[in-house]
Amino acid sequence: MNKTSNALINFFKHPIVVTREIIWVLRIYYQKVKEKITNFFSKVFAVIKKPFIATANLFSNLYKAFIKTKVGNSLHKYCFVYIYKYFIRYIGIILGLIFNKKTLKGLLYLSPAIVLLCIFTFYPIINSFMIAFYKNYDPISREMDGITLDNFRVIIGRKSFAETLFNTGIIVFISVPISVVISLFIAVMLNSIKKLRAFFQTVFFLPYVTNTIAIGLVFSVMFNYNYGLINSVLNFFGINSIHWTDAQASKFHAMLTLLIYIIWSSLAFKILVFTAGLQNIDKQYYDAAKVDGTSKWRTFRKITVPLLSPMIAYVTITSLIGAFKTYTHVVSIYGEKGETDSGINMRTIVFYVYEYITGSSADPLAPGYLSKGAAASLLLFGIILIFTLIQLYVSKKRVHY
Amino acid sequence: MKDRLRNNSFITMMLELLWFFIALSTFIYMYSILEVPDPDQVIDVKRYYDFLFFNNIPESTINLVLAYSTLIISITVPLLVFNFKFFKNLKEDNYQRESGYYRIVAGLLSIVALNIPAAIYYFISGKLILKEKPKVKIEYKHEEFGTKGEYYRRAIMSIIAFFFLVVLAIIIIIPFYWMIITALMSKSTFESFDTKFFLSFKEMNWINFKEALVKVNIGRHIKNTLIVAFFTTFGSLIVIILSAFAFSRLEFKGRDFLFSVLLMTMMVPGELYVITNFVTVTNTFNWYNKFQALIFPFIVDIFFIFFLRQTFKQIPDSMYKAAKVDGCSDFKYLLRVMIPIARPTLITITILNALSTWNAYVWPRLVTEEDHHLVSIGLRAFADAEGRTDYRLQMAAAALITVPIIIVFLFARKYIMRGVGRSGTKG
Repeated sequence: MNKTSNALINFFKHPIVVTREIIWVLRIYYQKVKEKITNFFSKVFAVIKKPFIATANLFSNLYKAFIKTKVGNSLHKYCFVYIYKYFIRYIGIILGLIFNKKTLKGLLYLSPAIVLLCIFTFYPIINSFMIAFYKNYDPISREMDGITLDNFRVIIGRKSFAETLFNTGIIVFISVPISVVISLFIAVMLNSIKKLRAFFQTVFFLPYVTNTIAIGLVFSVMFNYNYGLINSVLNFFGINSIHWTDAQASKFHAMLTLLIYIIWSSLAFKILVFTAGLQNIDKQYYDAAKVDGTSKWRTFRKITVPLLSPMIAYVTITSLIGAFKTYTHVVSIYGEKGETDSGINMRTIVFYVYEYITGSSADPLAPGYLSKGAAASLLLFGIILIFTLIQLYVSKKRVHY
Repeated sequence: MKDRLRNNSFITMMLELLWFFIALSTFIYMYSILEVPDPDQVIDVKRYYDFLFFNNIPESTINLVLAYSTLIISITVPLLVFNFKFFKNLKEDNYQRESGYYRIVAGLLSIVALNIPAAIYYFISGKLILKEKPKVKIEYKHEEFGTKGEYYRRAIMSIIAFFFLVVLAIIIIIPFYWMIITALMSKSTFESFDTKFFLSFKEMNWINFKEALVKVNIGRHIKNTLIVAFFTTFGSLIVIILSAFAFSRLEFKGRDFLFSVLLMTMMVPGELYVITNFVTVTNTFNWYNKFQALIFPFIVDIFFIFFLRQTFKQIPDSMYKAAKVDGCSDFKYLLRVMIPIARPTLITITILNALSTWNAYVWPRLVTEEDHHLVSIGLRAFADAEGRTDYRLQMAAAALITVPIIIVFLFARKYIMRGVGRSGTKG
């Protein structure tokens, strides 16, 4: 006799007892499964809860730190308290105004984006502006010793500051105009041919998608003294080999290598924008010029450039901003220190920002350390802002929209 | 006629596919045989391999087979795509005389790829098309085009333009070419002082890639990058779709104000966020050396919200109202109508997002250690530590992370270029 038939016989003998036992067993199983599920969900919930609690803590800590400062304290005492009072009094009306059904729905759709933006974009911008002026700011306890301009003074007073600014200036004011002119030239030629245009566009766009670090390594191999392509081409034409990037390289050649790489990689985006702009120009203008027997150069100067000027202005502004922020290109050729082996300074301003975070010598979270990085980033922002405004002012006068 | 062409191109496609798989499996098998040399080895050593029933095969033969199968793969895949497009266009009966020429060129290429049956089919179909659509001679009666001087001048101008474009294209391509050539050189070839611009198939040293994979540990970096790229793209698609929908279709107070605030923050350079974000991520969230630190800060990209909103706004308003009349909720409308219509834009966003993760360098280096490195950091670290001595391995590693992007770009060219034309975030 096996077990199942035994159970069946038992069931027919004492139906009530067996049913009760079965129910009992099922109940135990049910409780076990329920426990497991609730355990699992509580674990998951604990994980999910973490960032929210951390965010809430962050904002409350922030407010506490804000109160500790002199300005914040007085604001809290004399301003926010009153605002808070009136806020409580009229809260019903305010809530009714803000949170009607439509607004709630909109905010519901926007909430993930807004939460992430608050944590990773809006708060950092405000915070960077504040901590750049703090003295001995400790990012962990959020304490500081008052407000100074020392951080900016330290950055500007560094030995290499002038040279770094000079490097940045050279990169911006040489690479941007040259690459704009070359890409305009290429775009006009691309527009004049009919066959193989898609093929050439694809080729010219390749530098944009590829990894900056990888291609930078390729360039440093190409410009190598012993095994490089460039030197062997020069030798072919009877010119002696040149030290481009190694320890014996002069600053001129090191800079030239960097500029060639930056121009090479920045052409792609400009060509794309210019070809798109050229295709939008009305063909009638060119036909009219042809009827009048205008020369090609004059057509280019009098028709193409003015009609393309909004595109040119846009490209110049974006690439100016991009050139001020040059960092990866330098790192990819000269390493994280931004120096050649003999110690020639190839750094740009952005290096100052990251230097204080990577902190090869000290802990980046030590007091007073990050404030200097923030000051450097504010300097960069200020320079970019000034040039953007100048550019906008100039282009407003010159650009034909 | 049309049926014959269709059958013809279908058979060619199958032959190409078969040939592609044969080449691929040969490549994989041969590649798996190769042995990585010892780390202490300084001079090139001639190696011999045994496989199947062949004995004492020199490494140069294996290199030859590997090189040829790469050539076959790189010829057959574009031909397959080209043939598939032709096959699809046949249904609408729009093929021109030029496609006859293209098919003959394809036949020549497939002779190079040793795929003789496919080449024969290509030639037959090319001849058919050329017979079907005879050459039409256009005689210009207009003065401007009629005179010979004008004709020659135009021809010379276009030749000059082509010449310049070809020279510039070569300048653009040279780094990629040099990267691959250097990656394939043997040690003695690389260090000899007469630089070689071309390598014969026998001289190619495919072992370098395997060595780079072992030494740089690029496999793990690629795995990390794919994980981060997947989660970033997935999260950002959800967040971006929801917020773009709110900004384009829903109407509520303060919507335009919020949007203009977002556009304003696009002006601020990323370097300004980095410092505070570093503290937030490492200290508040305790995410140092975790994937979360690489994923969450990059989920929301304001430019993509802007880009998707433009696409959503182009969908006519009447559609929304019609759906509303039929009792469709907002969320259902978003899922059933808007997302399918905006699919090209969504594909663009996905690809650009993945690309930006693949190329990310600064932020991942700040918040991760070696076991969570992404590809470009791994490469840079290798170049600093060991690669200084061996440029070939450096180039092999660089090629391993550059070639996949180029392949993705060639397939999704349209989507990428459409998206980038609107942005302006790099260079």
